[in-house]
Amino acid sequence: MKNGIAGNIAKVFLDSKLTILLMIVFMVIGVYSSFLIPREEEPQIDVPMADIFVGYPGASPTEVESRVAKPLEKIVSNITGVEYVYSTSMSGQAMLIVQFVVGEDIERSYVKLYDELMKNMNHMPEGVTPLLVKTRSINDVPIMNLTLWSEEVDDTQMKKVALTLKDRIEQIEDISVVEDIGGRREQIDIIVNPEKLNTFKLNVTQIQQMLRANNMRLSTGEMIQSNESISLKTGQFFSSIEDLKQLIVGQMDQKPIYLDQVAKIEYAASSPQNFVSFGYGLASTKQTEYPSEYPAVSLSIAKRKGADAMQLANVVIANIDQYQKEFIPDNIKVEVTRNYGETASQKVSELLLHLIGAIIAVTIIVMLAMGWRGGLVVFLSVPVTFALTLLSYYLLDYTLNRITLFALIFVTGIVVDDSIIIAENMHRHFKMKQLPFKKAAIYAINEVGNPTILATFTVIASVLPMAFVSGLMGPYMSPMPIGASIAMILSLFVALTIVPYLGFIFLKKTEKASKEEKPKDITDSKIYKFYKKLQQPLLENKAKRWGFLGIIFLILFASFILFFTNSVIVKMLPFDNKNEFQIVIDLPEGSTLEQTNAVTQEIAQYVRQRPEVINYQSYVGTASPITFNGLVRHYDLRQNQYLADIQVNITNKHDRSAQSHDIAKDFRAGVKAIADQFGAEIKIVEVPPGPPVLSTIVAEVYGPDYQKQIQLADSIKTILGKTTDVVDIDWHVEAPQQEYDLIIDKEKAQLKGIQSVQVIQNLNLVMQDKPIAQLYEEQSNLPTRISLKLSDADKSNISQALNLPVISQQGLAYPLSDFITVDQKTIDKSIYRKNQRRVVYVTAEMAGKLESPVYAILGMEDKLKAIDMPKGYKINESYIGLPKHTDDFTVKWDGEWQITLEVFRDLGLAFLGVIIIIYMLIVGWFQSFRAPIVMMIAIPLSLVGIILGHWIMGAFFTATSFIGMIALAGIMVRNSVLLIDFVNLKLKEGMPLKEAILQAGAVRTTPILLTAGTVVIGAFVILFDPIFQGLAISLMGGSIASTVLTLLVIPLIYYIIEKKKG
Amino acid sequence: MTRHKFIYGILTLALLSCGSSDKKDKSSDNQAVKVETMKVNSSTQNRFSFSGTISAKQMSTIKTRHAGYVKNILVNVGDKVKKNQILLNIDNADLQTKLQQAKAGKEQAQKQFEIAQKDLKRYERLKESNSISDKELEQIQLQYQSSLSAFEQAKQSYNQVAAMMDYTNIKAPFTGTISNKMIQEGDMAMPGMPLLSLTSSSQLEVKSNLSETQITKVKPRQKVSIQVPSVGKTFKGIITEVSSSSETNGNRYFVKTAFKNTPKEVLSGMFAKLYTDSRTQGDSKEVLVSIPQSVLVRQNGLEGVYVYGKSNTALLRWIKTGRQIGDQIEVLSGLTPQDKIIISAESRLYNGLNITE
Repeated sequence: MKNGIAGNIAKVFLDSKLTILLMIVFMVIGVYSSFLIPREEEPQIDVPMADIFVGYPGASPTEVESRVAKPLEKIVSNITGVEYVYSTSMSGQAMLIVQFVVGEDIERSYVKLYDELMKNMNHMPEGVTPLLVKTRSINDVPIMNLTLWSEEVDDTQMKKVALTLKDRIEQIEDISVVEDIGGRREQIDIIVNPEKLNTFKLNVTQIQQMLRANNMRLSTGEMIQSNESISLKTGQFFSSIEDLKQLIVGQMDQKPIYLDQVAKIEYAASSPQNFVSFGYGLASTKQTEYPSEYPAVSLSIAKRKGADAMQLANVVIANIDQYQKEFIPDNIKVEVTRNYGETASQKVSELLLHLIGAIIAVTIIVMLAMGWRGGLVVFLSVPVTFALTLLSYYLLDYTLNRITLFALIFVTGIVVDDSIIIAENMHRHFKMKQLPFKKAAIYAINEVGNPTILATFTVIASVLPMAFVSGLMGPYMSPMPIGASIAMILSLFVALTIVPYLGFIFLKKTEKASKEEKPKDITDSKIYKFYKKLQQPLLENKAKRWGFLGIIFLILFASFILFFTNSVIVKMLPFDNKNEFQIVIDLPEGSTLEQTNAVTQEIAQYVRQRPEVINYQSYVGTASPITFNGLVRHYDLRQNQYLADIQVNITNKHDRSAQSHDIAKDFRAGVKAIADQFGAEIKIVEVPPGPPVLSTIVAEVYGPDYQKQIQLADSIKTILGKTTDVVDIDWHVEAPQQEYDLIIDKEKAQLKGIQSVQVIQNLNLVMQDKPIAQLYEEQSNLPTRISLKLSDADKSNISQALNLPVISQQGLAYPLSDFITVDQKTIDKSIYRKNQRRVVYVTAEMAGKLESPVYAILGMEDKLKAIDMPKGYKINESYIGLPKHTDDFTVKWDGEWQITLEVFRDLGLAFLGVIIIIYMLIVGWFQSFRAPIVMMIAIPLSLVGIILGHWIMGAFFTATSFIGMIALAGIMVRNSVLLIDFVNLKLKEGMPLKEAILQAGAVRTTPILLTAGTVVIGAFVILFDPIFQGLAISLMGGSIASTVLTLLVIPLIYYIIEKKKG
Repeated sequence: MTRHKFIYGILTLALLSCGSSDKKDKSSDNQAVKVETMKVNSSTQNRFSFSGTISAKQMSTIKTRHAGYVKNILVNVGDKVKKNQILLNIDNADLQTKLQQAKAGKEQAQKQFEIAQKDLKRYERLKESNSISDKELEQIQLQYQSSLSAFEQAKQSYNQVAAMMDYTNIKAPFTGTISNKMIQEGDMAMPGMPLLSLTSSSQLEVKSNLSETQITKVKPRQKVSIQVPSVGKTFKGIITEVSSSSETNGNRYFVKTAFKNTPKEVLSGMFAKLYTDSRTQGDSKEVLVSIPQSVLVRQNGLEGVYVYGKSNTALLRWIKTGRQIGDQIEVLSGLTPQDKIIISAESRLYNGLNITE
C-alpha cells in the first residue's frame, strides 16, 4: 500500500526526536497563554448602539415627533449599517436609540453617526437644544458594585466618604468609570415665605439677582508698584451661611430688608431624589446582627475594554482593606454586592474543571477499550490539542468566557476521536503482528489516515456554518464553530504527528509484554461473533430486513410527534443558574418618591425573609447599576420617582439545590401579591442566558391611528393576561398623569405692569428646586449648593403656590394667582416609533411549564381575529420583519421570539449547508453519488435519540440542542464513512459483500463505540449546566441512538444498494 | 415530572462528586414585638388659604396736641393701664403764664362789663325820666353789648388755656396695654408726633389684604381656621369685614377676621395663615391625610413614620409633610388612608422588626 499524506506526515514525526520537544513546547505555550487571556463571563459583543437626546422645550409629544423625531430618524436611517431606529417623543424632548447591525465596527459606526447628524443640524427647528449623543457598549456594564451602608452615619456623610472612595478607585489602572448612586448632599436651603415677600414687596427673581450680584470674584488686572507687578483680585464668593443671612435683598420705607427677614435659611440635606437601601437576607449570618434596612450609597465600577475582570476585582478588594485603614470609618460598612470578576472566574474555573473532567472520563473509556497504554496516548495527546487551541484563542483576541470555553468542552468528545482512531488502528495492527512494528504503525495510519482527514473535515463542515448565525445571537454562537473548527484541525495535526509517536512508544510495549499470544484474526473475536449474530439474519432475510427498517422509521416518526404534543418544548435558551436577579417595580406615572419607596420597602421585607437571599439593595427613584440586560433594555434611564428596583443576591449556586430560575419564579407570586395591593407593576428580571431582549414576548402594534393602536394593544394585553404561563404583562403606554396647565392672562398682567416672563421665571425658580449658587469651599469634593425654594407645605397645593408675589413696574405686589388660570389636564402620552413607524409595545414574560414564547404566540392567531376592529380594518400578524404599510393594523411579534426565529432559521440554513457540504465532500472522496446518501442516513437516525433524550430528561429543545444535532451529523457521517471505507477496502481485496460488511462492522465497532462513548462521556460533564444541557442531551442521546443504528442500518442499506449493483 | 426527577436522582448518585447541601433553614426565632397601631386620619376637604397680620381690634397711637418738652412719663411698655389714667405730662410752664394772662384779661373784662352794666341801668332810669335822648341810650346799650362779648371772650380764652393745661396730662383713651414708647423724658413733643402706642389686649383680629382672585372665595361671617406659625397653634375665627373695593387700597381688598376666643399667647403683629373650611367653590376636592405629630421620626432632614408592614414587620416609611393642623401634621406623600401607623411599641423599632398587634 502506497503511503498517503497521513502516512508520510506520520513517518516524519515517528522518527523524529523533535516530536517530544514539540509536545512539551506546545503544552507550555498553551498553559501560559491560558493565563494571558482575559477572563470574563459574557463574550465581548460589538453592538454599536447610541442614544440621542434632544430637548424641545414646551413642545407637545406630537410636535416633538414631527419636528424632531421624524427628521432625525430619516437622517439616521440613511446611515449604512443601521438596523433599528427607535424613538420616543415625550413632551418637551425626544430620545432616539440607534442600533447598528451586530458586528459592525464600533468606531466607524459612531463616526458615521456623528458625521451624518452634524451635517444635518441646520434642518433642526428653532429652539431645539443641542443633540446629546451617548454611545453604549458592553464595557459600560459595571463589573463590580460596592455598597456603603451604615447604622449610624447619615447618608450625606456616607456620600462624602463614597465620593472619596470613588476618587481613589478611579486611580486604579484599567478602571474606566466609577459612578455613585444614592445619598444626599448637604446644601443651604433658602426657603422663602410668600407672605413675607408680599409684605416687603419682593419677588424671588429679585432675590436671585441679588444673590448673583453679590457672589462674584474676578481677577481684575494688575498694577505695578516699585518695580513689582501685583495682580488684583476683587470680590468674594459666599463662604458661609452668615453671608447669605446678611445679604440685603431690597428696601422698604428706607429700611434695608435682609434675606433672613423674608426666608428661612438653613443647612439641610438636599431633598431626597432617590432612596438607596441595603439589607441582609435570611441566608446571611449577618442578619441577626444587622436586622434592619439601612440607607446606602452604591458605587458601580466599570472596566476598560480588554481588561481582566477577575484581576481587577481582586485589586479593588485588596485596596478597600487599605482604604478602610485610611478614611472609611468603622461605622460605615462596605459590602461587595456585585463581583463579575469572581463570577467570571468561577464560571471559567468551573468550565475548565469540566474540561479536565471530560478529558479524564474520555481517557478512562479509552483505557477500558485499549488498555492503560492506549488511554495514556489519548490522555497525553488531548491536552496538547487544547493547549494549542488556547494559544490560537489568544492570538485571535478571544477572551476566556463561557462561550469560548464551552466550545472547548463541546469538542472534547470529538477531538479525541482522531487520536482514538489512529491509536486504535495502530493497536489493532500491533495485535495482528503481521508486520514489524514501525511498518505496522505506518500501515495502520495509512489505513485510517485519509478517511480520518476526510472525517475531520466533515465535522468541521458541520460546525462551521453555524458561524453565520445572524443577529444578536451571532456573537454568542460564533466562538463555538470557530473554536471547534480550530480544535478539530489541531486535533488532526496532533493525531497525525504526536499520536503515532506516542502510540509507537507505548502500544509497542503492550505487545512485547504479551508476545506469547497468537496473531489474531478478526473472525475469532467476540465482537465479530456478536455482530454476526445480529446482522446476519437481517442480511439474509428480506422480510426481516424491511421489517427492521420499518420499525426504525416508525420510531423516528413517533419521536417527531413529541414536538407536537408539547412533550418536548422548544425554547431558545433556558435560564442559567445565577446568583442574582432583579425585581423591577413600576408605579403608575405620577406616583411620588415616598409612595414608590413604600411599595419597594414592603417588597424588600418579603425578599429579606426568604431563606435564599444573602442581601439586597433597593434603588428607588434611581436606576441600579446596569447589567448587560439592562443596557439593552435601557434600564439606566429609569430615573423617575415612580420607578424602583431591587437587586437581590442569592446564595451561591453550589450551596443550594434549586436553580435560580425556579427561585425567581417562586418569588414572583409573593412579590406580585404585595405589589397588587399598591397598584404597582412588577417584573422579575433574570440574567438572560443569551442575548438580551426587551422582553420575552413583545407585541408591536402598528397601524394608521395611534389611539386605535393603543386600544388594540390593550386588547392584546387582556388576551395575554388570560394566556397560561404568561406573566409580568406591561405596556409602554403611560398611565394618565395629571398636569396643570397654568394659563397667563397676558393682557391683565401687562395692564398691571407685569410681563409673562416674570410670572414664568418666578414660578420656575421656586418650583424646580434647582441650585442657584454654591458656597466657596476649596477643599470639598462636593460643594454645598444653595437652593432657593418654597416649603413643602407651600408647594402642596396649586393655589397655595400661586400666592407667590410678583412685583410690577410700579412696585406693587400681586400674587401670581391674579394672572393665572389653572387648567387641569392629563399629560400627553409619549409616542413610540420603530424604524419610522408609530408603534405601541406590549411586553410579557413567560413562566411556568411552557416557558417558551413560541407556544404563547402560536396560539394567538385565533384570539387576535376575535378582537373587534373598526369597520374595514383587520389585524395582520407578522412574525419576522416590519410591516410594509401601516394603513392597516399589524401585530408584529418581537423579543425572544424574534431571536428564536432568527436563530432557528439560521441554524436550519446552516444545517442545510452542512448536509450539502458533507455530501460534496463524500462525493469527492468516494466518487459516487449514491454512497453519500447511504452514509447520510445516519443523520436522521440521530434525531430519534435526540428527541427521546429530551423527552426523558424533560428538558427544553434549545439552540444548543440544535447545535448538538448539527455537530452530530458530522460525527455520524464520519462513522459511516469509516465503515463504508473499510467495506470498500475489503471488497477491493476480493472479499464477498456480505462477509466484507460483517467484518467491517466488527472491526469498526470498537472505534465507533469508542468515539460514541467519548462523545457521551464528554457531554456528560455539561449535562448539569442549565444552558448546555440541551447540547449534552443531543450529543448523548443522538450518538447512542445513531451509533447503534449506524452499525446496523448503514451496512444494511449499503448492502441493499450494492447488491442490486452487483 | 417524577420521571425526570428519578433520572436526575440516578445521575446525581452516579456523580459522586456532588456534595450534599443540606443548609439549615434559619428559623426567625426573634419574638414578635407588640405594637399599638392606628389608622391614618383622612378627610376630604376643599381648602383655600390666605394670610394676614394679627392686630388688636382697638389700637391707638397716643399723640400730644400741645407742643412741649416731655416732663415725665408715668408708664412703661407692657404696662396695663386703665381708661383715663394719666400716662405722661408735658411741660406746661408757658401755659401757666398764658393762664395768668387770660385770668387777668377775664377779670378786666368782667370789671368793664360790670361798669357797662351799671352805666346802662343808670341811663335807663334817666330815660324813664326823659333826661337823655334816645341816641345817648342806644350808645350806652351798645357799649354794654360789646363789653359783654369782650367778657365772654376773655372767659373763653381762659377756659381754652385751662384746657390746654389739661392736654399736657396725657391720659389713656381706653383700657389696654402700652405696646410701644417712642419718646424719652425731656424730648420735645410736637403735635402729630406719636408718643406711645396703646393696644387693647383682650380683642385681637386678623387683617388681610386679598387679591381679586382671592376675594371671591371669602364672604362675611364665614368660618375660618387661623394658624399662627410662631405659636404653633391653630384657632377658630370668623370673617367680620370684607371690603367691596380695592381702588383705594393698592388693588387689594381689605378683610378682617376675628378670633372666636382671643388666645392669650397670640400677640398682635404676628403672621397668621387663614384656611377657609370646606364648601367653598373653586379649589378641587382632595384627600387630606394627617397623623399625630408625636409619631414623626426625624433623621437628617428626612421625616418618617413607622407603619405596620404587609409582612408583619415594622417599616420606617419616609414621608413628605405639609402644614400642621393642631397636634396633627398633614402628610403630602408617602402614606395612604389604608396604611396603619405604629403609635407605640414595647421595644425600639427598626426596619424589618417582627411585630404583632
